[in-house]
Amino acid sequence: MTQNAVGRSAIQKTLLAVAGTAALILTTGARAQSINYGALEQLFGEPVTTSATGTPQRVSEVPTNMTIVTADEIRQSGSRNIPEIISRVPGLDILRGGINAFDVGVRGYQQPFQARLLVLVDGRQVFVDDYSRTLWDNIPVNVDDIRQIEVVKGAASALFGSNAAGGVINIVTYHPIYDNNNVAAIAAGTQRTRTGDATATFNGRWGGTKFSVGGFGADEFNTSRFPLDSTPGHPGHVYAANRSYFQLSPSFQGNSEFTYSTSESSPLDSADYYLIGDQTAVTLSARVGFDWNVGGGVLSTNNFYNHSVVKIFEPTDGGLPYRLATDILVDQLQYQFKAGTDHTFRIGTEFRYEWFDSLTQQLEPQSPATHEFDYAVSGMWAWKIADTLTWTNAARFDLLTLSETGTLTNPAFFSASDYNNTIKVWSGNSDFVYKPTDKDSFRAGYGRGVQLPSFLQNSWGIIQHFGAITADFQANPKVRPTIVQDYSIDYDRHLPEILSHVRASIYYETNTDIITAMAIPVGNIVINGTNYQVITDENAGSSHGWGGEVQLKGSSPEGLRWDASYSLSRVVDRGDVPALLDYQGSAPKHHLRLLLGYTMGSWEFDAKGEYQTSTNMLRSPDGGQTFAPVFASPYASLSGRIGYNIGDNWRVAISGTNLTRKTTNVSPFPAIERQAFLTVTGKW
Amino acid sequence: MRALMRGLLGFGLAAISAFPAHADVTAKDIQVMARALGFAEKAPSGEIRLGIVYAPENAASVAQAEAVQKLLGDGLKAGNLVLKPLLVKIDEATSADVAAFLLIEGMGAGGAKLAAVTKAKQKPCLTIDIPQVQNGSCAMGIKSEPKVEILVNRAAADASGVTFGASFRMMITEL
Repeated sequence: MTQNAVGRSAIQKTLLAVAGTAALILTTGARAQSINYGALEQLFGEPVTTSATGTPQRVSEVPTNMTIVTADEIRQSGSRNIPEIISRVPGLDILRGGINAFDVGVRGYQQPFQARLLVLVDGRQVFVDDYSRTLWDNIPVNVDDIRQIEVVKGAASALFGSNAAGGVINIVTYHPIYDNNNVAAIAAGTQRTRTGDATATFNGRWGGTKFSVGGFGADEFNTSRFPLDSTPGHPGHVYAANRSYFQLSPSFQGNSEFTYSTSESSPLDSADYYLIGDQTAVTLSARVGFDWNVGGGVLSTNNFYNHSVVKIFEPTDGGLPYRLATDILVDQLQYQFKAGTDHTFRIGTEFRYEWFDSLTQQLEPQSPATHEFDYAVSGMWAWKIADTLTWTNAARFDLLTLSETGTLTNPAFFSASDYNNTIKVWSGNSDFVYKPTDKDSFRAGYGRGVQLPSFLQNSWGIIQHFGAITADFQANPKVRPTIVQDYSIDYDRHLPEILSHVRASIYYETNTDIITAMAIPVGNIVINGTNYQVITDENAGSSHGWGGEVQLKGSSPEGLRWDASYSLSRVVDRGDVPALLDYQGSAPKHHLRLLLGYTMGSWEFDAKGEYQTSTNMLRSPDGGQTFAPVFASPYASLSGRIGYNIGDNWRVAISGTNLTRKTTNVSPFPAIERQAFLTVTGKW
Repeated sequence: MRALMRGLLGFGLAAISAFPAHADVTAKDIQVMARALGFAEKAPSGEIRLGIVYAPENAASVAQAEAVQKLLGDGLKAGNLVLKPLLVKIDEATSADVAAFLLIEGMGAGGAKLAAVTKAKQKPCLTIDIPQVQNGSCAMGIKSEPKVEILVNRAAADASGVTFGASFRMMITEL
């Protein structure tokens, strides 16, 4: 005991003198477990998360602007897709290209194939680096198996890696050891919508495992499109997933995961002047890891392999669809521990290996392939300076090396060796949380995030027809990452008098070296006697944004609940950004949301009203020959759900979106239709 | 550095404490205690006897102990536990056959007596009387309103054989 006390004292002094130095404190081990979200939420009376710092925290204490969408809110939304579910969060904007084609933007920076938002499921990225985007309809998750969706607004690359430049969404599912979630649901409705999802959980002293399967099918919205926009033949998805945890000893818990999903949808192709393509995607993943209580802390690994093959067809491509294969292998190792009573540390390393193949048939013989190695180290230090003041700092350094291992044509505008590149980049966060009373909380923070170029933006070549152009698309090997810096202040106040909680946030962010799509003509090249226009991408300039959100949320013991919010976002683009990307009008300047709900016995009634101001984005009506802003007017919409519980195990609900009009122009893309469906859910 | 930061924050830090000076034990307090105990390494489970430790010469202490006993009734389900109450006079704590002790407010120096007992018997001590946690007499103090706060005295917890996993420790206040 005495020796340990002396040892701890010496280590504490060292750590205080050189903050961030890793040190192991040797104490007895304790039972290792991944986070038991349910038990911790029951204890603290609020959701618990690890998404803010990598260490477990109550959502009211996280040093970042985080919103948690709970399982109750997911159910009450009536929706069975994740972008619609999270559309309630102020500061998020949903872009929609079709019945199952979505993009999600944060704080004014909206674009198809959103590259600034990192999306994870239980800590595994589902973000695909071909275009740097999320295949929302391809995520292999049953919405009835989601415990909570954690939304972080602002740069978070220091904790999550590159492409968490604008925010992070972590979808946390129920744990097969702690949560006996057995559920099945079917739904049918307009647009010939039919869905089915099921999750079965098995657990015992050895651990727990769960299996999820599901599918969705519907007809695409029958609304006006540009002549060169595609319409998918069979919008929908199918998925299967297994997640297991193994309690190998009281202090060691292993885990594994296997997933498969396939989808067809009509995404807005940011690489092709925002044409709408017909996309099919297949993704596979495998994951293993462990949590080990050792040395007074928790040593965790997360190792996964993602494979995706995406095919996109657009009429302008001369009948030759893109086929892109992206593989990623990630190994993450972290150690989190508490030093003394006031300091919590997390240190981590990450190794990423990605390779990218274009399987596309080309007009000239070439088969580009790119390999990327990323070595990263990161650290987090949370210092409880006083009972009411905490200071959290995080930093990450990435070293990326790229190499072109495939073959390009000869001649080529950029040679293969031009694509051998090294990128060194750092990211960081620093946040103060001050809680002067039990009811008030202030947070002030700075974040530096990194958006890396996608594979298509710094390492790929394709030669094909594009509309009237015969083009040699070659990515610019010298394009630099986009750096995002944001400054924010949040204030939270608990209002027991009106059974509510209010949050007000303001932010300012800068974005430098914004990367365009491949849309910049830079010359011509003759290959095998044919003249091709060379088109590439570039760092187009900078942009800054500012705005804020205010939200009042509460519930009464009598079953009434309310959530009213307003968000403001302003973006000013500089350089070539207005002409080539035009973020300024991509998201509504003003966005109002009002959600009301009431539970009466076995009945649940919920409604969501929204109003947003106009938006505009660049579109090309003629396959890339011209492009100009297309506008969407301000609009209001209404969604709702009525649910009824039949006994303890069954529930039936009728839901609808965009109820006030048959079609609504929610964006500069094709209008969406009113939808309604009936869902029957069984839970055991 | 720490003293400077505290000074800069002014009287607000000194005046405002996360833990109030006096309150009666509520059902929610019991629930929080039981659930928090569930995160201990050697967490009890099922039906257990909770010793309610009081000072018989102090009328307020007696009243509060009896109120807690009434609250628990024949057994209160809290988390993974069913808590069955047993009134324990401080001088008789040594011989009490219980899984955990709940220290009533107003014990004063009696808290130190219980600290010796919990160390000898390797049983946890829980309380809402935060000064008893701060002086090391009791391992864990809790507050449940307006929000849940958990305070653990690491020395007292170690002495009574109560250890918590790293993840849980990151979510509580430790002394």
